[in-house]
Amino acid sequence: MSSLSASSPKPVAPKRRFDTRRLMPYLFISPFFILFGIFGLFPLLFSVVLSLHSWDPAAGFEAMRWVGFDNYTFALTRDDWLHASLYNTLWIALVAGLPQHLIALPLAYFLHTCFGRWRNLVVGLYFLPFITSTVAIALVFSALFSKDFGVVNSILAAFKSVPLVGAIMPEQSVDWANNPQYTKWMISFVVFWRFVGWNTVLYLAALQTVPRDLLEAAEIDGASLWRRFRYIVLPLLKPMMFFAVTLTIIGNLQLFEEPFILTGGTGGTDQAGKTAAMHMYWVAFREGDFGTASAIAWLLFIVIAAVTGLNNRLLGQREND
Amino acid sequence: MAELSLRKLRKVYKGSADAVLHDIDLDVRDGEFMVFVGPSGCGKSTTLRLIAGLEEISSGDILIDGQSVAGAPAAERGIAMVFQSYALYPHMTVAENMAFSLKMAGESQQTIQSKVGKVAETLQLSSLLDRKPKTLSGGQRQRVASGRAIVRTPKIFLFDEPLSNLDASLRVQMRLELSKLHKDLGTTMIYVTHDQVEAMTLGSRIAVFNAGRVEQIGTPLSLFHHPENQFVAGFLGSPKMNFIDCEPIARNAGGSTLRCGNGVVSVNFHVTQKCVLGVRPEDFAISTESVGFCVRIDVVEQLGDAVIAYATPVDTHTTIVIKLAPPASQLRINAMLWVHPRPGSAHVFTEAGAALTQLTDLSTERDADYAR
Ligand SMILES: Nc1ncnc2c1ncn2[C@@H]1O[C@H](COP(=O)(O)OP(=O)(O)O)[C@@H](O)[C@H]1O
Ligand SMILES: [Mg+2]
Repeated sequence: MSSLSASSPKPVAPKRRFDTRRLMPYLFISPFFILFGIFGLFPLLFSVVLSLHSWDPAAGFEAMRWVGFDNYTFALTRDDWLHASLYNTLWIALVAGLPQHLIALPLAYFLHTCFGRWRNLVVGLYFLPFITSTVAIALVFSALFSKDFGVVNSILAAFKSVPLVGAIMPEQSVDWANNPQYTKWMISFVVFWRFVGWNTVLYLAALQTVPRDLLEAAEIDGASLWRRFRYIVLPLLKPMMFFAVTLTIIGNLQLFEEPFILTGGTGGTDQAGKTAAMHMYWVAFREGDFGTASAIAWLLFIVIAAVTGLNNRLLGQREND
Repeated sequence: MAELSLRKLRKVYKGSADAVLHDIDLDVRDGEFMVFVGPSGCGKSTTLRLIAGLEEISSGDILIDGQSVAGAPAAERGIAMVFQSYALYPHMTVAENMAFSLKMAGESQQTIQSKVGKVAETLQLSSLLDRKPKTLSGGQRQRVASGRAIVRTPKIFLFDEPLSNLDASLRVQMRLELSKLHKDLGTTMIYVTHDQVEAMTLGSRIAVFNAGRVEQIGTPLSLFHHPENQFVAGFLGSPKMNFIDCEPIARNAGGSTLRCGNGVVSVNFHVTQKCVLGVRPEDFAISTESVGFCVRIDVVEQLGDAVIAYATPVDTHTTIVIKLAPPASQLRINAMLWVHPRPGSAHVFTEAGAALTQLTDLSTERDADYAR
């Protein structure tokens, strides 16, 4: 009997009712998907829908009215402030972004090759602005750039007595924050100052992956410090340059906090310091036009995608490389 | 064409208390293939890097053709270096890699092309000139690295373990190519390796390094046959020389009789103190009568051209290695037999490791006909 039962056990129907062991993994990873769905995916898709509607949020969902691409055509053809702010954004992105990399690259190389024990301290100092609150930074710089009591103007005034350089120094105190001629310069400087450290750290990280042998071989081959940078380090940092420049492009084209605080939320005189993101904020929360604001957001997205694509052409790795 | 001299060369790395190199004195003659050999971490690479100018010397001097180069930048010393990793510039083609130093020196495009082309031809790299290093095999990369050094027509070549990233058969082939290269160029070369076979086969002379000191310098055969100390004796030769503690028990006209563990060995010179007997595995012979050591065979390895046996002398816990020409049918596992060193082949060292055997004329003879 026993041998029979052993050789042909009674077929047991697989219990499929509630297999917690199979469910557990999904349960554990679900928080991310739930949060992403609520705070990431939904707003994203909703903004697409919004950009095709005219909507006053105070009137509830019933007030949404389909308008097709009207919001887009309005933004593209008749919203002069958008055009001005887009110009401002691109201007600041370039003036704040380009020097970041032009300085961070050699700086990282310099720190990498010439600093021993003190390197981390110096890197830390450069990195500090990046982790400091934007509000605090903007406030500090507001004080520095203040017309009558700011340090920047004091320095310029001091230089006036120096021959040669003195000639190009301004006659009167510069009203950095309110003179539309200077607003973008001021914002750009703050953004530049803030992210130089970040980029330096990125490039320093990439430099760790450049084998020391290569630099030594180049040294023996007769390449000076600068030429080692130019011919060996720079080409090898290209992947990181692509990454860092992409981050800069995305970050700078979405610039909001720095100009917002430095100009007291107004964009400055003549709105000379108003960025596209600020304009979008203005349209949505001051004018209450969420449809157009969403359309602007997607237009900005297209601009960012286009510029990033261009960057990919310039710095991106090609297969045959 | 150049001579190199190291004078009391000393190196202490920043942040470490102990010197890595202790007062190295060494002369490399013009056109010589000098091999630095020694165990890992003994300071061979450091010495090479000091010569290259990649590291600053702590004290002492480096002379090339009698001129001190201790303070000169690496590029101005007239040396070229081949790294263990090859250090090929990954973003440049083979041609660009080889041309880099010429480009840095400001040579014209035409000169560069002809020089690179010529070297590429001798190294059979002509068909690879447009390839990037990552598409090359190990041996090809090694050749490009050598080529990059050659185009500079340096006074001295430095090689830092250039073959250790290759598989065994390729290593043998590249070893031959390097040998040939040295013959063709006739340039002074310094070659660092931890592999004693490479050292023995390549070197005109060998400097054996140990813990930051040079233990002995000489031709391969003089080092092999007349090691000045136990370290050199143990380092060169494969399998390693056997070392057996012993003491003199009798003395006669022709030499001394030593008791070594359970065995008794006669040597043809006088020993008066406790010492260490050194016998190379291939210098053992099987005794027909009860002389030498009585051993039990533990393991036998058949190599085809040789038979290697690992044996335990009875009543001891040591192991001795015996290497005989085949068939050597007596070498069977668990066989008990008597072995003795061939007459005149035993080395004797003091307990501190210095050789007691007198250097015969052979060594000076070998030293004289070192090159080519
Ligand atoms: N940059 C360095 N800083 C401190 N110690 C080092 C440095 N490079 C090598 N050493 C030490 O010096 C010793 C010799 O190293 P090396 O010359 O590379 O030996 P090898 O003979 O294996 O080439 C080793 O103990 C190593 O740890
Ligand atoms: Mg080494």
